[in-house]
Formats: sequence, C-alpha cells, structure tokens
Amino acid sequence: MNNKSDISIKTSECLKYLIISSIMVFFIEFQVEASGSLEDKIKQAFTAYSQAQQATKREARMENFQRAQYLFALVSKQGIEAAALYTNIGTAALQAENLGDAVLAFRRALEIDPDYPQALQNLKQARELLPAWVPKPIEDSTLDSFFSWQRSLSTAEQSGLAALLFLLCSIGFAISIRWELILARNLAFLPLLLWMVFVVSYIIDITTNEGRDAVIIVDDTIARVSDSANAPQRFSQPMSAGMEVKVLEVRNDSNWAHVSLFNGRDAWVNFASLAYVDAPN
Amino acid sequence: MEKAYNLKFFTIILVLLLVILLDVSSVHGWTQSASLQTTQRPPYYSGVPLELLVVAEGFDETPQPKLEFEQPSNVSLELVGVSPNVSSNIQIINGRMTQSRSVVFKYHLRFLAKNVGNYQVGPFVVVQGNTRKRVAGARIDVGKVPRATNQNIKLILPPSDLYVGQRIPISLEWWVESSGVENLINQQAQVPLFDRQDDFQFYDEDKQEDNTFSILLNSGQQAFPANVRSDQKQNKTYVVWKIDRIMVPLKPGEFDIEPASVNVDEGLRWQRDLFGRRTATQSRKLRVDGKHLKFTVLPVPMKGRPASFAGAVGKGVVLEVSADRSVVQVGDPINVTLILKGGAEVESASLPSVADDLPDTDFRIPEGEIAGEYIGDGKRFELVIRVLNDGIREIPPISYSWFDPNLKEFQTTRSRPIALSVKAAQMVSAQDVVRAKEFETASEEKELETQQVTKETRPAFTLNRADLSINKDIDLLTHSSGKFLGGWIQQGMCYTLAFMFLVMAPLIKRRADVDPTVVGKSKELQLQREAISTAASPGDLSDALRRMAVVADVVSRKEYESVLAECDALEYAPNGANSKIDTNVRNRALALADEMLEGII
Repeated sequence: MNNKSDISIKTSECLKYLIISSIMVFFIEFQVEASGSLEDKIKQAFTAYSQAQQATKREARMENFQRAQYLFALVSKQGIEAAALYTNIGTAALQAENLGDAVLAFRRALEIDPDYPQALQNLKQARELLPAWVPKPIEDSTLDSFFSWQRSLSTAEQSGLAALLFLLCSIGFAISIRWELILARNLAFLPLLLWMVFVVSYIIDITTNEGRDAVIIVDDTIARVSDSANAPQRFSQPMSAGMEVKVLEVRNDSNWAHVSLFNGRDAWVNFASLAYVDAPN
Repeated sequence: MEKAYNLKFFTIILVLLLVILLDVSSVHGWTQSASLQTTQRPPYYSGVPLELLVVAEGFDETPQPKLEFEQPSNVSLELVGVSPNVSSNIQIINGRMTQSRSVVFKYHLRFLAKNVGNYQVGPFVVVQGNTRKRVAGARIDVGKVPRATNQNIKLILPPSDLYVGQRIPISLEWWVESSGVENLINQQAQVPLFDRQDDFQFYDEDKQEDNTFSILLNSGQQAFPANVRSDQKQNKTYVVWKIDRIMVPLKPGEFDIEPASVNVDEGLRWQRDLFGRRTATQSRKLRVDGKHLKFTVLPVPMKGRPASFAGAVGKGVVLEVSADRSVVQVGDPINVTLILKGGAEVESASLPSVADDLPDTDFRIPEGEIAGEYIGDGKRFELVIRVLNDGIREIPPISYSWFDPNLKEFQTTRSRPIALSVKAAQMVSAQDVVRAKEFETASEEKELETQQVTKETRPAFTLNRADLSINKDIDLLTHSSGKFLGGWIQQGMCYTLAFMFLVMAPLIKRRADVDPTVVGKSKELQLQREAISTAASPGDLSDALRRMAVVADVVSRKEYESVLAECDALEYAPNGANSKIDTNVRNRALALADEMLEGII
C-alpha cells in the first residue's frame, strides 16, 4: 500500500531519468557518415572539374564539367545535404551551360544556408543569363531589410531556434516557480516573446506562401493553358531551363503541374520538367 | 666782397635745392629705399650661380612692387622669387605709445656667367603704382674656377647608333679621388644635355638609393638617386657617384652637347662644433668639366617597314590579347584588350591598324586610331569587334612590329589566337510572329510583344560575374550541414523538456515547502511501518508500534491500546517467545501505522 508521498518521490525520480536521457539524445547529431566511396566520388569530381578548366576544346570542357556535375550530384543523392556541395553542383552545371540544374542547385544551397555567398553570387549570375522576358524574383525592398534576420536563417534553423527559445522560457518559469524568483520570471518573458515572433512569422509564411518553390529543369518546356498536351500554349515561347516558379497544384493522374511565375502569370507544365527546391532527398 | 660772398652762398643753396627737386621728381618717393646686396663674398666664378638680393623698404604692403631690370649681355640674370616681410613694432615708454610698421620686399636674383669677365648688373627699378625707386647697378668680376685635378665627370652614352624613339640608358659618373672626398662640400653639377627638353625626353626609374647627386637644371635644382661605389683607375682609388637615366630622342639629327660640369667647395680649414661635427671655416671653389658630347640620332628606316609598325623602337616587345567572351552570336560585340609590354618605349606607342589581321569579311573593327592607356608596365588598348561570320572559330593572331636598334631591322610579334564559338544570329521571320488571342488582356498583348521583341535578346552566356571556383573541402562536402536544433527529434525534445520543467517545478516546490521535522517523522514512520509488516514476533510489532506513537499522534487510541495488549499477551504467555503474530493483529497494526502516517502528511 503506497501513500501520496511515495508516489510523488517515484514520479520525480522518473522525471529525473527522463530529463537526463532527453538531454543525451538532444545532443546527438544525426549525421550520415562519409564513406570512402563518397570521398572517391568527390575526388573524381575535382579531377573532372580541373580537366574541364584546362581543356581548350569546347566539347571536352563541356563533357568534363557535366561529369563533375554528375559526380557531385551522386554524392548529394547519398543523403548529403551541404550548401557547399550544392554550390559545387551548381557551379559545374553553370560551366556546363546547364542553367536549369545550376539554378536548382544554387536554390537548394540557399535553402540550407541562406547566406552562402558563392551560391548567392552565382544564382544572380545564372538569373542574368535567362532570357529578358523571364520574370525573376523581386529584389528585396527597404522594408524587407527589416526582416533580413529571418531570411538569413533556414526554415529548419528558425523552427529549431523557436524550440530552444521555448525551452529557455520554460526553464525561466520553472526557476521562478521553484525559488520564487521574480527576475527569472521576467527574464523568461524575453525568450517567450521571441518564440512568439517566430511562431507568428511562421504562420504568416505558411499563409502567404502560395505553392512550393520549383525550378524548370528542361529547356524549352511548353507552358499550356490547361493540363493537357493538346491545350494551347500559354506563352508565345517555351519556358527556359532555370526559370523559377511556384507549384500551385499537381495532378498526379495526368502528371501536370500548375505553376505561377513571378509576374503573376500561371501555366500548366509537365511535372517531369520541373524539380522542387526543397527536400531533394 | 660781402655781396659777392652772399651771392655765391645763395647760388650753392639754389643749386642744391634744384638737385634735390630733380631727384625727387625722378623718383617720386620720399620714404622708400632700395638697395642691391649679395649673399656671397667675392671671388665669383664662371658657371657658379650667384644669388643677388634687391631689398626694397618703405613700400605699401599691397600691391606687391615689381622689379624692373635689363637683361645683361652674355650672362643670365633671373628673378627667382620675392619674399615679402611685414613687421609691426609697438613701444610704450612712460605711458606714451609709439607704433611703427615695416614692409620689406626681398627680390632674389640668380646671376650666372658662363665665361670669365667683368659684367654690369642693373640698374634696377622697384615700381609700385606711381612710385618708382631706382637702385644703382653694380659690376661683378667673374673669374675662372680653379680646375680640380683629383676629379672627373663623364656622361656615358651607348656607343651604338641611336634612333628616334629608342629608350637609351645613359649614366652620369662623377669620379673623386678617395683621399680628397671628405673635404668636399656643396657639390652641384650642370648637365646641358638634361636641359635639351625639345630634343630629348628623359625618364627616371624609381630607385631606392641612400645617396643623391644634385644637378642644377633650367627648371631648378634636382636631386637624383645616386649609386656610390669605389673604383680603381691608374693605381688610384676613386669614389664614384653614378646616376642612371633613360633618354628618348625625339628628333633625328647631329647633336653637339656642351660638357657636363661639377662645381664643388673644398674645405681648407675646419672646426668642430659642440656635437663633434666638422664645419668648414674656409673653403675654395673647384670645378671639373667633362668632354663635349657629339652623337647622331638616326630616323627609323622607311625601307621595309611592316604594316603593323606604329613607331615603337626597342627590343623584346610582347603583345597580349584577351577577349571578354568566347561564346558569341554573329554580330555580338567582343571587347578585345591588347596590352603592349617590353623594352620599347610603349608609353608613347600607338596601335597599328588591325585590318590586315582581322579581315573585314569576318570582323567589323572600329575606324580611326585607338587611344591607349599607360598602365605602369605596359600600354593597354581596347577595341570592340564584331564577328560577321558564324564560320569563325578564333580571333586570329594580331601582329605588332617594332624596330630593333641593335639588330637594325624590324621585328614582328604575334599574339596568341583566341578560340571563339560563334552561333548564328536568331532571325525573326514572319512565321515566328503569333497573333495575340482575343481573350487576353491588353497588358498581356503588350507583354507578348515585349517577349517577341526580346526573344532574340537572350544574354550571351558570359560568366564574368560568377565565382566559378569549387569548394575542395572534402569533409565539408561529405557531411550534411549541421542540423543543430534543426531536426525534428531535437525540436521534440526541446518542447518535451520544456513541458517537463513546467510540470516538475510546482512538484519540487511543494516538496521543498514541507517542514524538515515532518519529513523526518515521515521517514521514521515509514521505517517503523516496514518493521511492522516484517515483524517476526509480537514483541517486535509492539515495539515498532510504540516507536510510531512516540513520533506521531495516535488517532484511534483504543484500538492502539487493544493491539498493544494483544501483542503483550501473546509475548508474555507461556512459550510466548515462539508465538507467531496473528494476521488480523498485523493488519490492525498496519492500519494504525497508515493512520499515523496520514496524520503527519
């Protein structure tokens, strides 16, 4: 027969072990270890890129740049998600004059690290290589610069930071309850406020963001007015590889995607001719 | 007799007054004064500049008076500068203040006689508005500077033929016997060749030398970096000052250049100052003259001039050519940069016509002469060319010719060809034009038109603003970017921990608020309850129950007494030590223990 005191003691013991185990799990990094084969592929890619740079004939240059791009992409398909790796893929693709893959890779690098300078620079250059009629993402305005801190963090980093802030806030409140410290309670409001900012920002993002970011990767993709190959063309000329669009709807039965351009125009394109920016693996 | 004496006296006074009046009328000034001075004592020497000073006092501060003088013959007299000096003086003596203001203008003149003789200098007139003050002239005896026997000066030119536009290294050497070097002060050289700016151009390389060599040029004194070395000649040791310059002849012809010379003071008597430094108390001028210099500058031969010759003379010219793009469409502009480097005088070089190298059937080149820009180690020319033919695979080598004065013949260099990938231009035919659909809005029609127009204006595939290096950090490339807090597990843990803290905090607080004596009693009661549940004999059970009663209040006193009585009865009965506890009694004792525990909490 147990009394209440016994129960509370056992409960606190359980919580203690749970917290310790949680903290241990919390600091474990879930990473894919680089295997020897990955290193080999990377080295082969370096060699191909170097050979391409030294080649004087255009055909040889293009071939080696494409090979370097392929080898870097093979590594990324092994589950490696690194901004530097995607930037290398993009750079090799750019050298191989493969604008679609280049833009896609640079966008993926920036999804991981929105501040990665080489990816930013090369994406800007790749966008300039697109035909003049292609609508491009709007440059940041002065007002946007106020929220630049948010853009410098990836979505995962933002949600992780929000969780950490909530943890800090709860620690503050717990301390204030246990030891009746007013200062701890007041300090806990700061992470709480920041957490709320992140949450509100996230809510605004998901409510205002229409569709998933994608890039046209097949050159001369015909944009149609409806999800049929027999439908009339939406634009007078095909879409170029490297065009950035937002996917509004995907019809799996017909493999057509409804996309919108940055000037507000929309079109239907074959789903196979585009690739999502996020979640490549 | 007395009348005659008075008449003579008045006549003298009248003459004096007339002289004074005449003098006043000629000068128009009462308070102004001017004088001619020199800063150096005689003797004066040919080839050695002498500084003269005309000091004018009593003039107004503004405007600055002008000094007028006639240029003497066979000598050079130049006004070097004017230094005005204004000073105010206030004196208070016995409460009476007197104020005076003094304005002094000093005109610095440089007198230079090249030959021995007696020269008249002046008169000078200082003019300010209507005021004129005359300064009497002076005669200056100019003697010959004693020739230094222990010195020599040489202007060295290369022995080969010289050509217009050629960069000719020349050097000036001043040899002084090492035994007399320490007595020489105030060295100053004159090199007439360096003043022939209309015929020659001179360049000085940036050198870091510890010593300088002073040369008096028409433009003023100039110090050149000098290399000083020790040398042997005819069993004598000399200290040699050497300066190097580059001479570029501007015109052909035969030149007879006056010899270079050096004037130097030789200290005869010396004294040492407080710090041990030697200063000459007596010195004499010495001079050394070089030799007349005669040479011929030849024009660049007309015979055999290549079409790509544009006047460069020298050796080892290199032409570097680069283009800003290699993949173009027909008609696209290509910025071609040509950089000319080498031993020729490239700064003044011009670019020859490239029409022979870039035929007009394949390339459109700009008309007229291309202006270049000197960039320190070469000259850069930029021109925009357009490819007219999609069969072109390269920008062919561009020729540049120069005249080599050593070989006495023209040389030609060719740049490396630049590979081009030329695509045919996209032509818009009638079939490409699509009529706008009726249901589309006006703005869409306009956009379509814009698209149609811009269809052929796809930017050239240039990557000049991209960073095309690849990251070679294998560790970085084979590991996913850190997901600290980014993974769902970490975030879930964060929120779980947060809620646990919030739940635990009140519980811990509640435990902490409990009285320590109560906790102690509770522990004791727990212990005794355990003893009751495991008691083997009635005595152990009654002992535990009694210990509990000491710590806590007994709620059911009768029951407590009853249980104790039964336990005592069992214990003190015959063979009571071996008697066993009845289950009913144990349960009743445990119930009592629980009551006491509840009472404590």
